[in-house]
Amino acid sequence: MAGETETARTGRSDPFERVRRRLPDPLSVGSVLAVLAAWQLLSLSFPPYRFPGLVGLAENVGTVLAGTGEFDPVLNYGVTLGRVLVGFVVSFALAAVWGFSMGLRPAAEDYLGAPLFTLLTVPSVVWAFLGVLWFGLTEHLVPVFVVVLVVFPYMAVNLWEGLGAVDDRLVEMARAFDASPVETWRHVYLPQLLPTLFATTRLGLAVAWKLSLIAEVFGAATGVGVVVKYHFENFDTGLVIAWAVPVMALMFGVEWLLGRAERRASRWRPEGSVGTEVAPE
Amino acid sequence: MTALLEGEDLTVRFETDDGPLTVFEGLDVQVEPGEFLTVMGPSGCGKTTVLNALAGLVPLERGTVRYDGEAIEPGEFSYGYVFQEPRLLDWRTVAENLAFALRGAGVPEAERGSRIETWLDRVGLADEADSYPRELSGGMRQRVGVARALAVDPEVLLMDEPFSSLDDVTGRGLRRDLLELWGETGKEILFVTHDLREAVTLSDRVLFMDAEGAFFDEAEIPHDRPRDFDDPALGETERRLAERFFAELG
Amino acid sequence: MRRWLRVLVTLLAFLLAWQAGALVLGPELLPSPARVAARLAEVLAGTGPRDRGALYHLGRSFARVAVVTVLGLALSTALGLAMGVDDRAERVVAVWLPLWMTVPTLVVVLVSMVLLDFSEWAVVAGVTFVATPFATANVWEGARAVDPALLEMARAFDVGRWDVLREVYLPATLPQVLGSVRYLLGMVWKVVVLAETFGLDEGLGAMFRFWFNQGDVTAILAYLSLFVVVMVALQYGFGAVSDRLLAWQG
Repeated sequence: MAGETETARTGRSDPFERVRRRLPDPLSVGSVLAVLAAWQLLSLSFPPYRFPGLVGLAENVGTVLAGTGEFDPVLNYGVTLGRVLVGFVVSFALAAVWGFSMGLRPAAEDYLGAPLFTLLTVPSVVWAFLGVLWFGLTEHLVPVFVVVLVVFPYMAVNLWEGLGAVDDRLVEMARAFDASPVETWRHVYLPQLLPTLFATTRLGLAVAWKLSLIAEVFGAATGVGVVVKYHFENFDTGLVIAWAVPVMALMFGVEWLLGRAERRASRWRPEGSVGTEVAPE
Repeated sequence: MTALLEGEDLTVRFETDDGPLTVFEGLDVQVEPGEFLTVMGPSGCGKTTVLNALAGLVPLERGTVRYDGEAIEPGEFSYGYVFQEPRLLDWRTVAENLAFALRGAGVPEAERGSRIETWLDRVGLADEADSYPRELSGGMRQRVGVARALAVDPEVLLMDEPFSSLDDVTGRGLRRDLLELWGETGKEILFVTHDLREAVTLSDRVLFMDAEGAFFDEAEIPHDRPRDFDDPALGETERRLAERFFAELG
Repeated sequence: MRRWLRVLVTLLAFLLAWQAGALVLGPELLPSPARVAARLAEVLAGTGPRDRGALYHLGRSFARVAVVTVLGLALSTALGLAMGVDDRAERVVAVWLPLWMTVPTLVVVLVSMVLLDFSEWAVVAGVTFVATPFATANVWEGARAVDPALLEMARAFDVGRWDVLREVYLPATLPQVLGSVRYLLGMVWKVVVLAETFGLDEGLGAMFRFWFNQGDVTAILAYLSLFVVVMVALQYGFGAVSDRLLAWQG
């Protein structure tokens, strides 16, 4: 009864849930406006091609998307997206195998964990450099190579930690009631792993995007990273930002969708700790 | 010196996802100076909320609180709270936990040390001043909670089922110690429990609360102090009261 | 002990695989561990470009990392705690946090380098911007998870705001803050190296870029080994410190 529990410990759900429920909320709206105003103010200290005001930024983005600039958006975004997806899928497969293997046995943890944590220390640019020196400037191999090498360790660690969420007592219970492996997998393991799988996917995609851009700067001839590099070399940071905006919008949209699915999958959890954001370089 | 603590027309309501929930409405309660008063009721009836309302931890929708005849803001009187769980800061030593409350009570630094020493000694934890809560048993942690509440030198003690989570042996020991301390310090105690035996053994007077948050009965416990837990007379009183109590609750 | 043995085994297995690969692919593509080690020795001794040794560049990078980590930690702890403690702060910041986390690292770094003229500040500002939101989310999560029962206890004893912050929130969020530091330590290094790759002459990133332009795989691998060793040592050392600080958790 609520009366006896005024120290109400509500189920700890996703931190953004509370914020979401309150929007639109004057403080949040004010905050948004304040930041936009700050951007505008800041843009006054720089020439427009360096740091555009809000209008200039919108115009640039328009130019980029309409393809009236120097680079074809369909080609470049498409190519980058393709690499991200391929890289992600390969990473997921690798991470699943690796992460679950680690979870199977404490010994495996030590054997398999060390390489993972070591891989996590390597900067993506180094992989990009090595990739180019090893494979040459092939079209897709280097970016995908970089993405996989950086993303799969993150995902593997995430999955491995998520395995801890599976309640062994329930597995034992399933055995006590002679549940088949398929049944156990479907009703005991999967529901408990689903939130982790979603969280890992979100994480992997987010990292993959950012990595792809970095990899493309040194290791490809087409792609958003290449475009950004070109504009960077001309000190046209206004366009650099403009090319990034659609990427952010896309990432945001996908993360939001996945976040919803993840929350739905976590609903049964009393203290649903929906994957803490981690990320990347 | 302790004084009369009164609550008049106390009403507490919460907003929940399913609509407003009335914990209790129009409740009157008086704690006589130096009295050991217990509120007894089933789990979830709102008895803890009575304590929290008087202490100002939970907002009153309606009602007045008075201390020594004067109307006050809830919580604006001298009290120490003992919770059901110890609620100690795990990352601080026992002594630091007491200091935490002493600072809140505005006790000057020079005085804190001696108070901590005195009260830890009184509850039998003189050697544990520098221990961390994790190193103590459940009973010991509760004793720290009691020491903390007493160290701020309050006139009133608010106690929310402080012994309900302890085993029989430990609980007994603590109840006996509590009565001793009460005898020595003459504080006023408002005690909450769901255990009739405990209520009969400890209190001067018991208020019975039903599941809807209303007081439906009251009983004086006339037995002399010091009281012996195993006194058959107490058992007899308990039986009689149990009949009255459970008759009402069905 | 067992653990170390396993790690050692993995390391040996790795070195063997490397050696095998080197034999197959040849020194141009994959220099053997021995060659890389030799190169590393050279590079440490100081025969790099502009006559600066690897340690010098390591130092430059380290200095930048240190500044960013301190700044990022201060910012994220302040923001995260504020968000956890105060509802209003939460509403103001939370609306931006997801967006902040989504900004592509490359873009932040490139824009920062250009706008701040490839200076030290360009690196610091850019990397801090990238790292802070994640650390903030961590601390925020921790601050939200502070036991409300403890906060109520603090209210019951009239404990002041700053005392509550210092004695309850800060220690309770220490694991998250330390987690943030650990996370920052790992991530900041990599982003600093990224930033240094673009137009700086000093620092590990600059070295990577230089040797890439020379097509020298051996040099890159040598610097990479140095980098990895430093990182692993840092993480391990930090882990030890962290465990000590969290000793009260038992």
